[in-house]
Amino acid sequence: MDGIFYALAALTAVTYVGEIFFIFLRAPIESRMGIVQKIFYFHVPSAYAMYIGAAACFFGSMAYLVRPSDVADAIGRAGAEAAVAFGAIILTTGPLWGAKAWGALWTWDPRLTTALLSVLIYVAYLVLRAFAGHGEAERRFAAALGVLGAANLPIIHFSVQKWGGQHPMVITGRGGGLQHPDMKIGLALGFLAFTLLAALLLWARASVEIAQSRLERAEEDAIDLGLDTRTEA
Amino acid sequence: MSQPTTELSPNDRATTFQAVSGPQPEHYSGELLLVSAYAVLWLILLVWVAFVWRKQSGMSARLEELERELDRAAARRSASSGAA
Repeated sequence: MDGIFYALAALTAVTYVGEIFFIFLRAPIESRMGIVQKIFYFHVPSAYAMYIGAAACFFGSMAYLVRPSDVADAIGRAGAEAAVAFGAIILTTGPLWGAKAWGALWTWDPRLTTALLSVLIYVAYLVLRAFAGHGEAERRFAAALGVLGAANLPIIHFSVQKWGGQHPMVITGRGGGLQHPDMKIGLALGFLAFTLLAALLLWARASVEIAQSRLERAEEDAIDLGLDTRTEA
Repeated sequence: MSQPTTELSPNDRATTFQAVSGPQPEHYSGELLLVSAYAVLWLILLVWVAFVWRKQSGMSARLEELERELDRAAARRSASSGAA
């Protein structure tokens, strides 16, 4: 398994180098927004990576509710952390683009608002896991939140089509689309790089979480056997 | 581009401040925003990786403690069986 992990890490690194090359050296500067449009090449894939993290949280949480296990719980928690990390990226890179394109860092646009709401849901999941303890009931409650939190994902995606707003829709084509082949390649590489990165980070984080659960169980067994081990992190 | 309501000489600018009226001129550099966005991207990812790293380090310390305790228990057991 380690070999696959390192191969994935190497592939991710190579893809990122290719993406950086395309973004900064090949993709043309957009005619109306200028160089700031290049934020798009990692802002949109970050949003996609947030969906991957949220989907992992949903499936892990669902699996935990059906049949509780350390692996399902770890996938749910890793997914929530990925959703928060990539969500934080979209909520900071987007406003930096908006400062130039809209003349404002933030507007209560439907997509921005629903994306913020989604990130707050996963922050709530992590706060719950961090402060409510590691018991079965807390894990179940967090899993329920992980399942319910996914309900907002389609709302984020379809908010622009449904309620309008200022957010661009270049990928669906209604905003004009990407007019240069190198723009399309840059975005495709971005999607590939962020998919690989999300998979890599989810794998690493879930592995740590599974190992921690096993360690906690070993410590409890040691205490049952009369050994004096630490129980706190 | 908005203009001040009245034309000011350098001396006037030293003694009065006047608000612009109408739309504001652009204040943001596209290059700076792009670099900032890219820096934020990597900063967030690095913070997350550092968090995972720290968690892993904490687990290693706990694992070492558990191993030491197991070694001590094994030593006690062998000492007691030797005495018997």
